[in-house]
Amino acid sequence: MLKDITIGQYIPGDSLIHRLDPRTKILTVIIYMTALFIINNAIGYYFILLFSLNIILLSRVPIKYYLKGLKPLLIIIILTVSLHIFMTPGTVVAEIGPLVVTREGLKQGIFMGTRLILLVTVTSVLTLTTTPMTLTDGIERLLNPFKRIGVPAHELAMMMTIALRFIPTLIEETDKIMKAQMARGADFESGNIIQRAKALIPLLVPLFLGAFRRADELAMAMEARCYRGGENRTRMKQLMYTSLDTGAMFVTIVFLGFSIYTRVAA
Amino acid sequence: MPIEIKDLYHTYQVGTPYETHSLQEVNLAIEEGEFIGLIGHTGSGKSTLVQHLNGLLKPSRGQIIIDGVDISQKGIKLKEIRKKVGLVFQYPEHQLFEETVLKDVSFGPQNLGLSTSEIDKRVRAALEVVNLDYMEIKDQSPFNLSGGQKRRVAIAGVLAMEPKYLVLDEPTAGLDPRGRDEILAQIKELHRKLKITIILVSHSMDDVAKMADRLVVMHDGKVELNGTPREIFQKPEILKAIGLGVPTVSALLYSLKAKGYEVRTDLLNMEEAKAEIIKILRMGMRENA
Repeated sequence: MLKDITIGQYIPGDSLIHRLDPRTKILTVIIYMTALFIINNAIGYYFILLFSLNIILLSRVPIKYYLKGLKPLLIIIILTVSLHIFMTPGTVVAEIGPLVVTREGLKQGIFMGTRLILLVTVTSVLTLTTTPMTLTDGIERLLNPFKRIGVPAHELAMMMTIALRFIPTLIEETDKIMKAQMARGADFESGNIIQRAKALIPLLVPLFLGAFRRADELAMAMEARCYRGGENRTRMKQLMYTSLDTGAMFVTIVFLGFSIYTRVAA
Repeated sequence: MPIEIKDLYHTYQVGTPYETHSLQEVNLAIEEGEFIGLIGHTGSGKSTLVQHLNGLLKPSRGQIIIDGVDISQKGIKLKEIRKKVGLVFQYPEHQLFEETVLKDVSFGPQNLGLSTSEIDKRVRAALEVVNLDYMEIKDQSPFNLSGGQKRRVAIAGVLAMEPKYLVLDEPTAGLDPRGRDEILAQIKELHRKLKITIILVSHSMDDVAKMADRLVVMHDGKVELNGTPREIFQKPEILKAIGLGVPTVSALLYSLKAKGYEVRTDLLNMEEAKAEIIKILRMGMRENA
């Protein structure tokens, strides 16, 4: 069950998308999302679907990872789609009991569903093809200009890096403590809600203690190495902007222009 | 056969780019009352193997039979297995969670559904085995104890379940020499007095050489060697090749032999080695004279 957590999951590879600079990836995702929300008719959706499919194929990440990312959102997607289908007034196509399906509702439902699915899938392209470290690096660089107005770019990025870094560690630790308590006869899987909540105490107490101990040790280790924020720091892996990035930016901006056109022309 | 592992395979993260074969074709039989030393360096699969013994991990393939019951089958009562096979994890003090030592050690027996008087009896006995004074320690918070004491309380927590087979995963990791010797002596005592079958996981050759009846050496998820310490330490080349080496005493005898002294190399403790070296030196003096 703990293995199903996909936050920050990175699938190694060497596709065109993998090779893009994280800044390009973050910016193009933002532009893409803008386009996704501008589009409001069938032609626009047709093209953005085609565009997204191409990106997904280019990433060379097996489709099942994208499906896995959609799974937790399934209920929200179904709910949104059905609300749109049944609640939009217009020409009636069918009646199921007290529920009325309209032509406009169907259209709206399909549009909304597609929008949600694309939103999740394309942002997954970003997280699946970029290591968490590069991603925070990119965010830090993008936030740099805002330092002047008091945005603590480096500190934010450092906190994110540490948080991401410790997700697998804490999952592993949870797994270990769970096993150790199970070896002592603990039962995490049966009983009613109150019993189950109580059964978590032997897991949570050691887990929190461990997390605090780790945080303490990490702070000490950072201080021992004279860490004091982002000034004058150099990087082992410099971010490089290549012609590939220029190309990706160009294609995405052209696509944004095209989406605006489909909306205005219709 | 009390514990039998047949053709065991275990693969982590099946179907992802991170797929790793942690155990491959492991076959092992353990007799009742044996003291087994399980050695291998980090990542050799020893921890994975011991987690199969009480059903914490399910085999990808193969069987684990404990007292005639195949525990990898569906519908097996795992609680019964965990009562029989006690497993002390690495750094067991990280699992302590209760307000008092008494409550923490009682956690295991309580989960077995025992009566209050039986629990109390077992907690007293378990704390005595690990050499802690029941009256003195029972109301203390386990978090205020020293590292060695915490470790012993945690081990007592497993002992209080009175397992028939006891598996200890590197019980001495991170302890100072004195703490290490104390824990090892208590484990030895446990084996001698209560006749519990013990599987001691370690990467310290010196520790296991002194204690175990039989050694199982693991490498890359496979059982590389399986025999008495004497037999195993006769194969220093294999041990060296997999990054383990031999105990200090054997290492000394091997280097003496390399220098041209005709010493026996199958000796395990300091006393035997001392006698042998003295014997050889005397012989040498006689020849020279």
